[in-house]
Amino acid sequence: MQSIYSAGTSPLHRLHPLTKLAGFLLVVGVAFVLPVLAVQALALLCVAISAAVAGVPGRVARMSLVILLPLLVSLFVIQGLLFPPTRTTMLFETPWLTIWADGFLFALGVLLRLLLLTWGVLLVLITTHPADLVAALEGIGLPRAVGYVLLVAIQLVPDMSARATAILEAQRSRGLNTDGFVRRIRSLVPLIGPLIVGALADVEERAMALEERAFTASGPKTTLRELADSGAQRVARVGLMIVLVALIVARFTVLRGLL
Amino acid sequence: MSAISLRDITFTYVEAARPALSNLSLDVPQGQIIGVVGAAGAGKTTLCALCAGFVPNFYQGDFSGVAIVDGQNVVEQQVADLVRHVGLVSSDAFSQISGARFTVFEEVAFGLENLGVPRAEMIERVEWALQVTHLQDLRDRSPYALSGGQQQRLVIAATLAMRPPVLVLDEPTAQLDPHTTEQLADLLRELTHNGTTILFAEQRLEWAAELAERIAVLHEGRIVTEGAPQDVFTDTRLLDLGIGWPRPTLLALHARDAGLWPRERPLPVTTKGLLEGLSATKDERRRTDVGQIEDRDVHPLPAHPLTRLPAHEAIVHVEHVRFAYPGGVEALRGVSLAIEAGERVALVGPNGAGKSTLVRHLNGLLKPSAGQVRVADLDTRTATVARCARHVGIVFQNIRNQLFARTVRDELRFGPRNLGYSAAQIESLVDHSLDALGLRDVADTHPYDLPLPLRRLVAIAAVLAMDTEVLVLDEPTAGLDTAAVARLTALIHDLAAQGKSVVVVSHDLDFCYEALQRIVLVKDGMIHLDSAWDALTSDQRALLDETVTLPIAIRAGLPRSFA
Amino acid sequence: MVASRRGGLNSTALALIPVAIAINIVVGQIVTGTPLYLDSIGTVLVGALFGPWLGLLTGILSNVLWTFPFGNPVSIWFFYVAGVIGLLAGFAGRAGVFYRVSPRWLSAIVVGIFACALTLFVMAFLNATPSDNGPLLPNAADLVSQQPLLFLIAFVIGAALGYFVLERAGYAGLAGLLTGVVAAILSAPMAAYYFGGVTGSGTDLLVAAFRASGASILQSTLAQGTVSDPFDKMTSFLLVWLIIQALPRRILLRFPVPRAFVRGERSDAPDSTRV
Repeated sequence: MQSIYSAGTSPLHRLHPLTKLAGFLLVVGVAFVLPVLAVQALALLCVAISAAVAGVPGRVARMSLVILLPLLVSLFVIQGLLFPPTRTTMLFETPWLTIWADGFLFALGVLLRLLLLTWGVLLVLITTHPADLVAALEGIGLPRAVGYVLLVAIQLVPDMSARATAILEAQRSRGLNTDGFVRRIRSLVPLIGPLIVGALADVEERAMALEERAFTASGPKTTLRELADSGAQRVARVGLMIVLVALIVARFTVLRGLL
Repeated sequence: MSAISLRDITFTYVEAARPALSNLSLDVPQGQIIGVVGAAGAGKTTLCALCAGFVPNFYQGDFSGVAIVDGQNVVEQQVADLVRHVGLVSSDAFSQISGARFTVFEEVAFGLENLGVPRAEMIERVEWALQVTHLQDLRDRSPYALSGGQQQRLVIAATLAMRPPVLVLDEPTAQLDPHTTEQLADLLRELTHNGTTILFAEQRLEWAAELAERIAVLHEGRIVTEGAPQDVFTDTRLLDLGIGWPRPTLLALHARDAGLWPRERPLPVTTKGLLEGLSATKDERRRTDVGQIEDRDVHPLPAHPLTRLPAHEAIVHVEHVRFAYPGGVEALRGVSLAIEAGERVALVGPNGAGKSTLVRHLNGLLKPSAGQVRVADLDTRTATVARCARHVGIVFQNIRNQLFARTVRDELRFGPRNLGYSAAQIESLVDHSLDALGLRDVADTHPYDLPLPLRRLVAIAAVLAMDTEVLVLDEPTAGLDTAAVARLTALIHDLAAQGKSVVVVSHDLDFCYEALQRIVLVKDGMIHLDSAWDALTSDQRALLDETVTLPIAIRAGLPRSFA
Repeated sequence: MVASRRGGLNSTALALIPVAIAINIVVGQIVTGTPLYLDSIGTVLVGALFGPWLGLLTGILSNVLWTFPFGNPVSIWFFYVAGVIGLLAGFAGRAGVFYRVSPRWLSAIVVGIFACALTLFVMAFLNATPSDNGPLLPNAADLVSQQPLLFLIAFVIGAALGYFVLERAGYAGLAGLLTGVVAAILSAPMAAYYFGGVTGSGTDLLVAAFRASGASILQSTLAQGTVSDPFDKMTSFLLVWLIIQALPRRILLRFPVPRAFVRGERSDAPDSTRV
């Protein structure tokens, strides 16, 4: 499994990570605070246009499909076909299938919300290097230790996947049979055991290496990585956050009765 | 003033029965390079950790004595404050990569960021560190995309960038191939010229002999002798302590017995010394007694015929196998190989040549894209790995990936139990395997409580207990000490005598030469050479020298019986 | 150890937590296709070795990372559930469940009783009468008296599971089951309101089954979670118990929570509850 960042030079790639995050937060706000299909569709269009500007629309579409397909199938089968919230209006009927309007609309709402979130997340992640993202977050108060944990974990996941494969190979070479359901469950201990015991045995060396690189040393720190920012972006970030707050306030005051 | 000054150090780990270091005193003057050798468990790693300040503040235990490194009392200081004075590079490069940085360049800079070095100076120092470790071309690669040897150099670069006046390296060559080992020696020598003090612990005695100005021999936490490599490595006590002598020294000893090395000339401790000494002998003989030595010179290897046993049926047939990974890289491009009963085969070749891909075909972990692999009577394309595993046992290089049981004995039971042997059979196989590798005394110990060399033997024993006709060992000598290598060599000969075949994938050509009889060179996914060691032509020898280097004994032109 | 003196995020914790997060994500991927999630083994491990607060942190960060940057859109919304699992595993660790060995009969009784409770819960749903105010649940006592055989079978299956699978990890198993119940209760509202009760995994079928009995989305997801989460968490706790029991003391002593138990075992054993 790999991190999904893809290098590029589009305007979106060049934005400060916090600017992109502010945009994403606004999208999340729209998804959850304004459950109006038309508004959500409009927001989705904005995200799609941004993806096109960044030059990664195909990638966003493909990845979101892979991620969402199983979920969407479940969603439409359960909500749209089998068990609508209340069986009021029939959307259409065939001899073997009845689609209920309420269930369908409910599912459509969930679908739009999921698409907004997924496209938003993917767009930020595809156009922002994880190290830039963490560096930006450290700039607004994320503890260095947490930033460290996040970055290491991101790099370790592909490596752990590879180790899991190597363990499977080693144990199959020792005659472990993993075919079939029961065997698969039983083989968890010889497969997960070396992964975890090996990792724990490594922890000592990893901790030593961390001390050796002065991570825990007191005193001021410097950074190699520099993030490009601009006055316009700083203003834009504040603006986006004000809109988001206004949206939430409006949702629970002015729009309360409407939605 | 000494850069490292240790006085009467005694240290016992929590819960340990005996001290890891006892009454140890050592002084290393500034700018000296000192090598520490000793059998597994002698205390080398503890000594390295002590010099870098990890004992007794990180590793808990009872400590007494005084340890001063670069003027700092290491016992009274935190490691994070000592890093400006002393840098430690441990043997496992992988777990020393911080993981928090995405490129080689940034990884080297990580320590400097933590020290608060200004950005401009940081870049300058990183550039220098990459240059001296020959990593400039890899600066934008991910640290995790590097080979083991490159990762080792990266970790050294990251430590060097912090400019410690004292550098401590624990088994720095454990993951390096012969070529990179030489580069590392050059780099360390250069550093000492600039005033850096270096202490390293090492299993490769030849390498230590070539690099160190001084050698200290550690045994059960004490320094038993120290001095110039020339004196220490010819001390017979090393043989008694299970540390052994460097290969060139041993070869010269055999040569002396055979009259090829004059008694009055001191034994060499380096390959260079051996080669020079032998050619000097040759010159002298040529002057005095031409005929006799000319004969030896032309036929340095006894011309045995191919020692294959035609009576035996091949157990593994690899026929015209091609294999491409899903990514499209064709790793095998038409490989044919037959392994007969009782054969001892070395599989050598540069990194990425296709050796590990080939090995994974031998028990069906990978299925050929074209061609066929037959194991006993099974076609690996249709038989399950579990069935092939009855005939071919593979021990992979990374032993961490298979150990999980609470005791050595339990670990050994896993394989035979998977193969469906009865309880009585399992116990007998396990006992037999424990004895074959000398693990009887540690049968009830946790594998992770054993020193690394023994842990590797446990991994080998675990596959040996499956009693397969073919045993495949991937880099079995990595990290092994002399005693463990001797065990392994004996095991391989025993197996062959019982009519079982052994295939060894290794960079350690000297071991291949001593323990195995046939050599197969894999390069670019094809077999370029397949011959008995004794039947190598001079062209083939040149090809080997160019791709994977030659065993010292062949380079010295000494008979195989010497090795 | 420097580590223990400072407490909190020392270098040992900093070295372990990212590894634990990677284990969560990788093992969670490996077992896709089985009815287990097993996406909290690393979290439980950190809780068991470092206590509740780092367990909490590991759980939260795992779920955040699975979304950013590994692209799982569902995971991040359940960050609080993952955090609570780590928290509970940590308290369980401090109580010593990972360092104690239970008799096998205790494991049998624990899982047996749990299986009965679960059966009661499921039966209540399946026999509910739909009405305007949601389904009317039948009387528990009636259910048991109507089908005593069913409950007996449930107990026997549960007891067998406890005796043969959980074996001597009774305490850890119990902690896992209870953690699973809490996790199910906590995750139901999020699953119901934001995802319509589905998460795209095999357990969605269970949601469908409960919906068929006329329950609301919230009730169905809660019921689904109560059926699958406890056994999932029991398996995770069991695996961590097995791994910790098999660890050498040398490694265990590096971590603060086991230090209290492993060393206590030797010197002041009288108050230990080992059997």
